[in-house]
Amino acid sequence: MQNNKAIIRIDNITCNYGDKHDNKQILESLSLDIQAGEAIGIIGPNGSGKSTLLKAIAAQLPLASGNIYIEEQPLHAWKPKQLAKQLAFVPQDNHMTFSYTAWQIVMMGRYPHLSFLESEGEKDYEIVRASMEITNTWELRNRDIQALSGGERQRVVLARALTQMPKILLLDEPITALDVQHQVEILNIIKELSEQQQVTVVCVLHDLNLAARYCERLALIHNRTIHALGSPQQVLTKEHIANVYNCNPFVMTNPLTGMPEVTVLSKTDFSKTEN
Amino acid sequence: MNKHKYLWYVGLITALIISFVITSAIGSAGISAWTAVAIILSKLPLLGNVIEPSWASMTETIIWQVRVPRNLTAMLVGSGLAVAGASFQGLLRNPLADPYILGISSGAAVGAALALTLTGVFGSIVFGVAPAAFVGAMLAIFLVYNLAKLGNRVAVETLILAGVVVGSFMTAVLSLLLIRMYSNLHQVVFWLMGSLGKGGWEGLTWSALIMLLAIVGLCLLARPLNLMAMGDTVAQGLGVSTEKLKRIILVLASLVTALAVSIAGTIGFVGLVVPHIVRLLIGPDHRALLPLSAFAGAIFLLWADTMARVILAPSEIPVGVVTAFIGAPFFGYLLRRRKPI
Repeated sequence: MQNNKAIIRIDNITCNYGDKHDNKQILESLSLDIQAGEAIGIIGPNGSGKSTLLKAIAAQLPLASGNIYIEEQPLHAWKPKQLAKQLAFVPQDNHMTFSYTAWQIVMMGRYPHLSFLESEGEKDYEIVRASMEITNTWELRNRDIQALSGGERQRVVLARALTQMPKILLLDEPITALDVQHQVEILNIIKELSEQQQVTVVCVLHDLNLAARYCERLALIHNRTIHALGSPQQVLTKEHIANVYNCNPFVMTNPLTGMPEVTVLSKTDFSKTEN
Repeated sequence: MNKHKYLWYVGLITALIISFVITSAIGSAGISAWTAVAIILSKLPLLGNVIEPSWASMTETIIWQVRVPRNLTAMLVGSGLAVAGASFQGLLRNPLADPYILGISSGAAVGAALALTLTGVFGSIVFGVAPAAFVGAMLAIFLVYNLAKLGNRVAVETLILAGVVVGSFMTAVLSLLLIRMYSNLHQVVFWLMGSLGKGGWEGLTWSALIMLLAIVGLCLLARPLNLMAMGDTVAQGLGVSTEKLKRIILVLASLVTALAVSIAGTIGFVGLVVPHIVRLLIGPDHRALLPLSAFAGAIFLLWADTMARVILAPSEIPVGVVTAFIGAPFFGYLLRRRKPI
């Protein structure tokens, strides 16, 4: 299974979550190689450990056993600033306490590139501007981050991740709280980054159909480990979805995208098609 | 945007110098501001030989031996409390955090009072008082933080409640300790309520120097503090060693608080009111917020102390009473205001 080109190599990890009173095993003996430049989607039911896997890659959770390698170097051996130049994490919850401007938020992404008392230079300003233009947030630069809508804020946070100039972008349900048009907008930006700038994208997604449309490869998480791994056609089969989501799915090929499209039926719906 | 910020520095430093001179002159002795300026200038190295003294030696004593050191102490304590408040607010992501509201000042006061009880001497600031105050302050912040922490989150309201819990407990311990101080109870109580009247030049010793260094240290940590204000997870993702930074900032801010308490007792609300106003004027970027809060805090306490001296002249009220009269309604206003800060 081991591939030398893997930019992220997850080697048999087990993760426990919670404190000593309420200790739950979230991931168990999970292994996954992620290649440089690919866009991989992590899917699975609520509580299956999707977000935990992402947090583990971002070095935000201790591993009970196993190891994660970024560029062949174990995660714990990376210095925080060096790691922040390799991978950027876009969290699910982007609550802001103070009224920073969007520009100030994005400039924070330059932190790992600056030494202790070094101030930002021309180059940093240019990178911030470029990231904000890519994410379509340059017009928002002087606005108060707390006054922005959910979609605008999500784009600003994505711009901050881009100013880190990472090789790997980790996104935890980046579109869950957004309207459909904003969902597609964000996913298009991410897809462009992955295709044009060879950024490796690891994205936790709730929506199976959007995952199929935007990710080259999907990892379906179930029962604390990977249940299925491969192209959307290989992963989003009637059998896999029925097993993992415990439901009655109908899978067809979307004529527009050529990708599998899942419709979930309840047991009583369309009883004729079921038979 | 940057030029704009320099103007704030220039404005606040000018206001500080003017405030210093005017508050040095204000008082029952009826000294003019010009005389105060002349006396202060005559003490400066090169100018001293140029200026001919045209004032009574009594006037010089009042200005140079009483008011100037007192004002310098007020400036130092004011800027220390303001910077400590702003640092706690950024680190704990809580715009209502303040050394006094969080019970840290009370913790420091317990430490200081304990040291005084044990040494049995209440003179000028003895060596043991400040370290004891520091231990008390660290204990208080440790208790508050762990009481308020649920999982990995510290909610705004919980933190304030935890501060009330720890603060009340510390105040009870303090009252218990005060019972043992028959001989100088009045002095001790007055000091605890916040007073800059003690010390003279002797008050401005090594503890003042350490406090100044700690204030500068906090200002230097402004950039990572900006990231901490985004939350631990985000800060860590951006390359901050969060646990290390958290410890350094908590220790420095508690140190500043403890030294402020050992010099001037518990003066509340400076760390709440000042950073708030500065944040409204220049935004939340700690690289400007911390140093500008230092200057604004100095100005604030200079005037608060002057009011404490003159409102009921010839008797003096504790400066902590003045800051509470201003700060408590302000705190109430912030609680009621639903608009994000």
